[in-house]
Amino acid sequence: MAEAGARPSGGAAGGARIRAGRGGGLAAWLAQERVFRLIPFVVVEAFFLLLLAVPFLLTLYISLLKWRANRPFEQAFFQGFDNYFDVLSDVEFWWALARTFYFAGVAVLLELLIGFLLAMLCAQEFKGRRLYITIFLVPMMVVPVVVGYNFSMIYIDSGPLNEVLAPVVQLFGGDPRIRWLSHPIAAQWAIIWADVWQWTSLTFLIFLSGFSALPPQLIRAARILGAGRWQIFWRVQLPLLKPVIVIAIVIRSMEALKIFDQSVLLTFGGPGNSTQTVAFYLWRQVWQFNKFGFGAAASIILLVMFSALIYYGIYLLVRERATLQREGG
Amino acid sequence: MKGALLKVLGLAVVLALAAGPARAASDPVAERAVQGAKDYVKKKNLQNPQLTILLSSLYNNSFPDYAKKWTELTGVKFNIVPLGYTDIPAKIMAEAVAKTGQFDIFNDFPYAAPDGMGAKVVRAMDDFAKVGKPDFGGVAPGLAYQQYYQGKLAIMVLDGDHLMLVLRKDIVENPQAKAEYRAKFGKDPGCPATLKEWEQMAAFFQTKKGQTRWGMKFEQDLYGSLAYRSINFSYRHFPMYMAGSLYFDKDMKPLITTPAGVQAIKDFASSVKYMPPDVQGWGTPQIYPFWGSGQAFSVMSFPSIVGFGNANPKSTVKGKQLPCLVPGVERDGKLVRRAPQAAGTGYMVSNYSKNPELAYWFIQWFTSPSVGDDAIAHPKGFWDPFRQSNFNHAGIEKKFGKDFLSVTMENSKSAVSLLMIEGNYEYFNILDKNLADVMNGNATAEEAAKKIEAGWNKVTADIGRPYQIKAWRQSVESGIYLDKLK
Amino acid sequence: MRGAPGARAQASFARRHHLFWWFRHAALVAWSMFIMFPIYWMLATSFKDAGEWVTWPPHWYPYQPTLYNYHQIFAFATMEKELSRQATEQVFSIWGAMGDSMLICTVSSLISLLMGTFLAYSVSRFGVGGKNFRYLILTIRMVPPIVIAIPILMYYAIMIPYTTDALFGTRISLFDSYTGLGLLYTATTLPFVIWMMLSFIDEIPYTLEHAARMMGAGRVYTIRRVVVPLVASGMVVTFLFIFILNWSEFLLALTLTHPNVTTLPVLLNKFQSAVEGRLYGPQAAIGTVITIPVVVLGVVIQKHLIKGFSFGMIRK
Repeated sequence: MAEAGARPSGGAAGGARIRAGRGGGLAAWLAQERVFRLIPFVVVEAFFLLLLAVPFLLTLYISLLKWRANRPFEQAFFQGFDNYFDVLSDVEFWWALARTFYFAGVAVLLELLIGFLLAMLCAQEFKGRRLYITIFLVPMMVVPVVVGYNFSMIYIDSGPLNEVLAPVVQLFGGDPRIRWLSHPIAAQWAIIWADVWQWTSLTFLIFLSGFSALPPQLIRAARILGAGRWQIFWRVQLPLLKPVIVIAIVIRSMEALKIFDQSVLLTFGGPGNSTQTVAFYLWRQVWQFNKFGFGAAASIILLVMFSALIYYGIYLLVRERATLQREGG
Repeated sequence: MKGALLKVLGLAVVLALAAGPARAASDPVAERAVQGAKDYVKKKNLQNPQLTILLSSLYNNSFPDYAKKWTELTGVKFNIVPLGYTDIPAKIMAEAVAKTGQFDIFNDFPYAAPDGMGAKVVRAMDDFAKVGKPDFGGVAPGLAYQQYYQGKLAIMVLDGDHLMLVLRKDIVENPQAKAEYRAKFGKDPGCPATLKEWEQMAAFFQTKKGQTRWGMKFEQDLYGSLAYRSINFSYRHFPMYMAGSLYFDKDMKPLITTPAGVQAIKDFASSVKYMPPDVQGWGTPQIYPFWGSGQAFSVMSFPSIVGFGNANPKSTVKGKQLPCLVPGVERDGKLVRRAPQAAGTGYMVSNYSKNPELAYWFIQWFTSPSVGDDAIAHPKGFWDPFRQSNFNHAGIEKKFGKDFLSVTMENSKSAVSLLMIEGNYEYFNILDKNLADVMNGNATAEEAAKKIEAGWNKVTADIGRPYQIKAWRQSVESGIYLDKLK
Repeated sequence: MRGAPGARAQASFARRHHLFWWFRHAALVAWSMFIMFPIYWMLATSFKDAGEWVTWPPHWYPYQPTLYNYHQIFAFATMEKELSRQATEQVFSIWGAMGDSMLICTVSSLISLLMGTFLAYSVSRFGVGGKNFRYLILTIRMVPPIVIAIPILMYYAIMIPYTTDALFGTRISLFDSYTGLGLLYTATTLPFVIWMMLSFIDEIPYTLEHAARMMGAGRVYTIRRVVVPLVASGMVVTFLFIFILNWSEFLLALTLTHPNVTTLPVLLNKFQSAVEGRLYGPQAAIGTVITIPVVVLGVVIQKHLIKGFSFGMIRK
């Protein structure tokens, strides 16, 4: 990127004067469209290649090795696809995967619904709107580790959350000391709610952004034609917002499948394994049990699985965009 | 009260500081270490010598005092890198891969040593020890030999953390309760001899909120017992229930499916009945305050719980604690007690250290009888007594109290190390998971035993059976589990 | 939908509108409380003394407010306090980690922003990389960090030093260095930059640049004087977004850095003690300190944020 950053000095002099001098010749060459258009592409791709491709190939290689880190790397040996079989035949891996999809599914669904509802309520100008928006966007900006610690304070059995909920729970005859972090099902919800708390702000932002980008004349036209509030929503706004909804789903799912911080900070995967997500499972296999070869194989398997999913998401995005361009053009 | 406590602690510091130099002068182990470090620096002609230690952040407020003292004695500076103890093993393994040499000393649990040695990130200290001649005298075998892996000195420990049972003295000694208990069981309540008896006491003393028993009105529930039953903790308590039996036979065939093993699983799981319902999700941060709040009749825990109960400002059990020996199991008519060394901390030399000898000299100095005693007496330290010489140290006696000291010393005779073979964390995790299944009623003890057996066999095969057998036999022969191979 | 609806409509909906007003505010206030509660609790805890962190019933506000937690995290040296066995009087100075975090996050976000913006420009204008490049780039983002941690560790700590040794005769290790972590942060946030900037650049009519070029301006001059001013607010939004992502990253930092380089999330993880569990007070104080600047920044550029997050997916 250095050369691109330095270039303005040559270019700023203006097109006419560029031809003068040897440096100008290079600048002119660089300014040709067929060259210029590729500069950033080459730089970024080279960067990715250098930084990420080598480790990726390394992961592939390690996944074929018999390597537990309680033996030095030099003693690792090639053993083919054994690690892959081990991963695929590990019941816990599948449980962790299922749990991850469950967490991600529920959390993302809640985030989308709540985020959309809030964005809808905030779409129009009204008194206090700015304040609400400011508040709703705060969680996005809090470091996840801090969120984890905050929720671990709130979820303590004798903590503020149970204190608040106590009257309600007692009304239904329940035990007011909900064991948020030590009961298997409560702990799962504890993690889901922490995720919803933090990331509804992002879906809200995306939807709000979508609402405010809606062309007002279309809606005005619909209203003049006598459409009611709900009709406008269902027939005009929602179809226009569809691509934005797809984006929100793709972005959030992508991040939610990686869920790690909260299950480490809140429950450390427990009680039992009830909050062990696949990222945490991987962490445990690698850094607690030192199974590096196994971990690499599991990583590759996960990568393939997630890729399939994400590519489907991307396919949806591409389709939406194609429709958009067709209609727009 | 607080003022008195302060005075006592202040006195302890004064005594510790006064006793320190005086004793250090007469401690050849520490002297040799200081001299060795000085000679090393001179020999290598080191300018501005420095040691970097990866330290568990728990010791952040006591360890630096000794680092400073070491610098005064030898001129070797210290760079302390504190890290949360859950992250330390990963950091050590990262160093095994990266080989940067940025650490000289690792501070971790003794049972981190096998993996570290296997990965060649921890350096055996035998060659240095031959010259330095450290003193492990007065340390019980279960604690002393856990410092070795495959016959090599891998880690030097300065912390006894073998488990201890504590009862509520005020309740045990309540005359009415005593009479009632005697009427029912034909003997006075007191430190239980067996785990069975402990459970029987737990059942007897469990009391619901609002009840009035033995002339005491219970404002809150009194649970019969309290102990660690969560993942990452169960394995530290389980050896107690398998007392008298090892985990494996001489060929690493798991013995968990034997009657003794299955019975141990059953007993371990059934004890949960008298514990708070959340106990399976609890670690120390929950268990200590719960005990302090007076809601349990008995607790099986790290020995530092007594100090917590006496010193914590919120504690309601001050002076109401009765430390007991770990209860045992009847084997062939004999009572076998096993107090697992549930944590404890030690110091290892990094294989990639630029000055391993210098690192060793510090470790020898720090764990030497005189400095070690002072460290255990350090008012802000978390180190627990484990060595005979601790018994005669004024500072330690002031800090822990005579009763506690004699019990923990007696307990250390039945102290056993946790599994000291490579891959132990995975063995532990398999045990924990299946114990949890039994406690939750998702599996019977027999089913769990079978699963544990299969899981353990798989790990053994994965690491290499002959290799594991060799290490296992060596560890058993060293005497760290007290039991012998049959 | 914008502006006041017609007078007639308002009259006919007056009653329902009133109900709607109540519903809207009830819902929004409820969610605001849900959002603000953990934040408030963090603030309150950061002013609480050790004895008040965990109590039953909980203390809703610090009964004996103290600045001790802040003293602890801003301190430069050990403090003297009454002796106790608790680990609550450790010093956790955040200055070093704060500086490291600031440096790494700012620089890597800036580099990422520059590279990403240029690439987005060339993708938008010349269709570089094919029609679906803008989506394919997202695949980089979906790799869970745990997956690449070990290979990156080997790459940084072994392969790169070895290679530089062979080529230039000096061992350069990226392990536990500013550059190493910064490069990774740049790489993992680039997809978002490209993606977000594309939507901003797509919106600028090409005719403007065309006109500038016709008048003899160079390419870079055109970008600098025509394109950049138009997408400046978009760049700010993007920068903030990826800055937050980098600011919060935990796993890679834990594996690949420390002790030479320590970021704030890694520092935060040290706050545990055997007995009290987590040291909630200093943790909350740090949480407050590292949250406030980002939130203030977010509030300042809120208007731009709202503009930037529809990713160009709404038909104009």
